[in-house]
Amino acid sequence: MTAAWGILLAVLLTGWAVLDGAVEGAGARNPGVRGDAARRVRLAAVGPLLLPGEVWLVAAAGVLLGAFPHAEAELLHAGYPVAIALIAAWALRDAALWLRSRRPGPAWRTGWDVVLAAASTLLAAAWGGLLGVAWGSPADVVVLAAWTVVATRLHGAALVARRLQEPARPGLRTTTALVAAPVLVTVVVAWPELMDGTAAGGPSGLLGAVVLVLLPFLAIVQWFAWRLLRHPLGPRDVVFF
Amino acid sequence: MSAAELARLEFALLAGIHFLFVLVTLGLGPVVALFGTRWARAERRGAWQAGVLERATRFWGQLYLVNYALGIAAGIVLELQFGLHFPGLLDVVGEVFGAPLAIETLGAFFLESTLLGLWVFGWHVIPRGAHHLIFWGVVATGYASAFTVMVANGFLRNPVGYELTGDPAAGGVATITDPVALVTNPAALLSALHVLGACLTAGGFVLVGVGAWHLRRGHGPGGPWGGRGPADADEDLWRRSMRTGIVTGLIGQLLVQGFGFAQFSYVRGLDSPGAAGGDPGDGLLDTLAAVGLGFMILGGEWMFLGAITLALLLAGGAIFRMHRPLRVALYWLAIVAVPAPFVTAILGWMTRELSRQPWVVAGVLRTEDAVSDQPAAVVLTSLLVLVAVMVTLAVIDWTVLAGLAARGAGRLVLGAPPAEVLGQEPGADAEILRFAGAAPEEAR
Repeated sequence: MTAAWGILLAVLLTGWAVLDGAVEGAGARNPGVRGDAARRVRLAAVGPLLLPGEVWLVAAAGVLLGAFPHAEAELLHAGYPVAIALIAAWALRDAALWLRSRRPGPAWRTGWDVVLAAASTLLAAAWGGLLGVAWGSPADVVVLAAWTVVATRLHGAALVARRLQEPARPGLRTTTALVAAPVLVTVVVAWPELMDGTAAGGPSGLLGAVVLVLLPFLAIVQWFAWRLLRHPLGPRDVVFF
Repeated sequence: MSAAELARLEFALLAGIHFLFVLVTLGLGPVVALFGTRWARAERRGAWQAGVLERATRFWGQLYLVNYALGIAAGIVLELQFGLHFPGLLDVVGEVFGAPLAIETLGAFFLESTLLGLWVFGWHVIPRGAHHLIFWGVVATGYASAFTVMVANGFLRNPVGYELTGDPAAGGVATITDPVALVTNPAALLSALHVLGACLTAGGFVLVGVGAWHLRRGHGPGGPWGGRGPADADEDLWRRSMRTGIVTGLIGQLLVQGFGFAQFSYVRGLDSPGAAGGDPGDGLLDTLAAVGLGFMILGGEWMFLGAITLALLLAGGAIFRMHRPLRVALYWLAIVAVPAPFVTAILGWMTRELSRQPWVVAGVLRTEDAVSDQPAAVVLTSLLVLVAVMVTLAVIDWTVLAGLAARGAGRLVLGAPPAEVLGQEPGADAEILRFAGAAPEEAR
């Protein structure tokens, strides 16, 4: 039972790393794109992933809270500054994406693009750092932070390239593996601590039943959301960011 | 200040900021859904109202969206506060308090956000008949999300449906024994309906205020405004917005008043009822809670009177047609009154949270026993960083929202074809080619 919760947590964390990683990567590279229209097109390529993507980490935090409260408290205690950086960067990244195109003018747009790139990079780094905290040593924090920053940049570029029908190297499959690998390895490394970090009598069976009922709905709605990304960017897409 | 006091202050400020966004999300949600459904119906019938209903859906939907964006960010910052600063809460009542929050994040909010993403980014792909239903899904899951949060919060105020094994100070933990009692807890149910009323009131004030801002101009492309019927599409849009706002606000006020006073039924019976229970106050926090309660009720009565007055003025379209100087004065009153429901809601929330102190879970766990052992300097740093970031972003977001509201329904981005959006950017020609070809049917 506890193991099933652990697997659900692993799936949610990996899902977030893959989905949101592409948004982080596209955001981090945005100031390198010439011209405001071209920047908006590249953000539009990953745009449909933002809302259905970031909920995966919120859901993972909910699973930690509901099923592994002690593991969450322990992780956030050890990684306090990294966690603060992660949520601050997350808030800034979201604000930059939603607000950058709400007003005309180069100062407003460029200003938010700088915030977007800095916050996206910090978000990726803090995520890698938090995984490193679960590993244990400060060296792990630095290595994993650097890994996720590079991996998300490649991943974002690969997804944008696919939707704009441009060549990209490495391809989307490779970059997906690059962003997912550290999460999966971390779950394996931290598995014993995670299993010890449940509520006193193990996770509640009632909560498990509710989640089991909900899962098919989540899967169906997510599947529809991903379908929006299948085709190359065209007239049926939405430019909002 | 001690680390515990700083952690509490940080939570209070961040929750307050989050709550201000939630009021608009839940208050505007049903309105956007209703406009969307009426648009879909009018379009199917080929009715002339389809145009103005489309603009209403897109205008209010865009404001909803820009508000929602920061609401999520503020909510995420808040969710992690429990683990960061109040691990004792999770240690002792983690199973009971964590379960509704897990359902909120994994179920309700997960669906809400995914459906909203489908609504925005599937605008030109999903058939209109299904598209407007998706937004009702956003509204339903948004309300479910708010309710699960109230179940968690209601447990803190009035713990029911649980069993405590051992002393909380010495490793004792609480487990759920009666999930039905947890959900039907009056501190969850009555308070959720009270908060729902507050949200609809806030949504109503925003609709009326923005409508008034535009109607006070008094004329449009179709000539002077204020006749029997609307002179042009603009006047039609703002009249509809104001009418909808008045009805929404009145429904909200009825819920707020009814379920607000209904809460005294259980609060009086609590072990530590705080200011609302008629007990002599102990200390500064109870006094503050009492002040919050007094002014909240005062503000509520004024808004109730205002809502009834405006509803009466709807008769015969008086609010749109009466003597112009009087009308403009009334519009200005509606514009400056927009912050009122937000201030009142914060006072109400202050009353509820302060009245519980010194307990984090009334009668079970003291707040001071639930906080983490982070040094005060570290907590102060996180308070300054997160509160500064969130306050700055909130102020910028409200400025953008005010600008979008004042600009009107002229150049809406939500629901516009991509080529039209990019066409407003200088030097976009090369990029627009990508979106050439058959324009989507919905975007005609």
